[in-house]
Amino acid sequence: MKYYSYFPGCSLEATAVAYGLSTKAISGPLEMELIELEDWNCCGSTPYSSTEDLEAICIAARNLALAEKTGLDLVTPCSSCYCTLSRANSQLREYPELRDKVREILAAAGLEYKGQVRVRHLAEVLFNDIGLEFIKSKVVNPLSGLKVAPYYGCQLVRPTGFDDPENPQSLDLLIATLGAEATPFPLKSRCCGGSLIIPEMDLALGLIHQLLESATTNGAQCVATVCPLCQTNLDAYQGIVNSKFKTRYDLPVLFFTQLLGLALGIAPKELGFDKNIISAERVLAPFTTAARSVRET
Amino acid sequence: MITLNNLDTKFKYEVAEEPGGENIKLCFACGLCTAGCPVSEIDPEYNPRRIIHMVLLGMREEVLSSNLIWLCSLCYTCQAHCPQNVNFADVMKALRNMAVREGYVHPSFANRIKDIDTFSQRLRHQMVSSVVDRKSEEMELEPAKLAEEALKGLKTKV
Repeated sequence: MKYYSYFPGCSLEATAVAYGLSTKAISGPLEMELIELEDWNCCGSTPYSSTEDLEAICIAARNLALAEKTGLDLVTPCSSCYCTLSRANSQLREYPELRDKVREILAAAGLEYKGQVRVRHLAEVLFNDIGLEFIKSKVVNPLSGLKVAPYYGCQLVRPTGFDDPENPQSLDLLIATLGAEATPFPLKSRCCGGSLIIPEMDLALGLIHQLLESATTNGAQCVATVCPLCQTNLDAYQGIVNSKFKTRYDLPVLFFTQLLGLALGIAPKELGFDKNIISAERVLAPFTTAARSVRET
Repeated sequence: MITLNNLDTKFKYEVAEEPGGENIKLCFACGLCTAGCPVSEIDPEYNPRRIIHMVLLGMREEVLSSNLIWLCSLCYTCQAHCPQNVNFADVMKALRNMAVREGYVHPSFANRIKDIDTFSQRLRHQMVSSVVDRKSEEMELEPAKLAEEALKGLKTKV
């Protein structure tokens, strides 16, 4: 059993409930113990850091200080949290002046951060610590023939990512491990627009449209994503993209942990498939029936 | 037209002092940042190379009061491409912070940005619950309508 400090992040409590459910569901069979960080707060994500960077870094630093006490690596499934926490972590190491300011602010709350925490993304932990061989040995319901577009988005691979910033391969390999086929996806690490969907909707819809087009023209039946923002943008706004660009996309956008769980034989309802907006029922039908029978026998 | 007397030669040094901003002076204007930028592809008005160049020239007023600095999606593609290690996403954050600090954006604009954070959480809750709770009623989901509510006034150009 491997132990980690677990940082779900706000999205996993809201739009990405399915990501949280499926992450918890796969942790047992994959022999990971994810211990939720007690009293965690928002990571200090994009809008905040754009207006008051020092406060945003302090908010991240509070989480890092709490995590340091556990002595474990801090794992988050959210790419945005991963990026924000890693950025704060490295800036606190690189800029002594900033570190002093933050130290003072944390001290007022009775906290101290020495800079020892390793911030990690769940996908990286699965790839490097758990390993594809081990995952393969646990697959009881191979997703044979399922064509999946591996969507990495930005923040898993840039700026501090573990995989190539433009042509990453880890998720492709993971998908293949599950028995499915990773389709070519030239825009696999292209931006979905992130939070621009709120203030600059037309701009973000343009980006989402490009991604959906790239995935479908390359034959994908569904998209596997590692990021709650990517998932929301591609899933919830697909209908609006269809009306704006006169397209007819009907492409389920799933968290990679949901597909992983299905291959491990976990019941679909434990993986939150009912919380995806574009239903994956049709494309996953052959495997959801199999998951049920695997479980019953 | 650029008037020399209006240029602030200290501007680039101030940006370089912000965490992540130090390499801006190394930019030799090759344009790889802009060539790979997904936002530039949709809206060519947004041009990272031009913004960096304006900073280096000292066009403080024009840069900090521009709406364009708010279009970066922080996807870090430019940063991955840059041969000179200019951390453009951090430069952009620095410029936004400076714009807020120095009053180039109306305080209400900064407050609204903070509201977006709160609002986007509420929107997420609503979207999930409307789908999860009423999926069987074939309710049509319209995040655009939900978003409209919070966007009232948000688009005010400052």
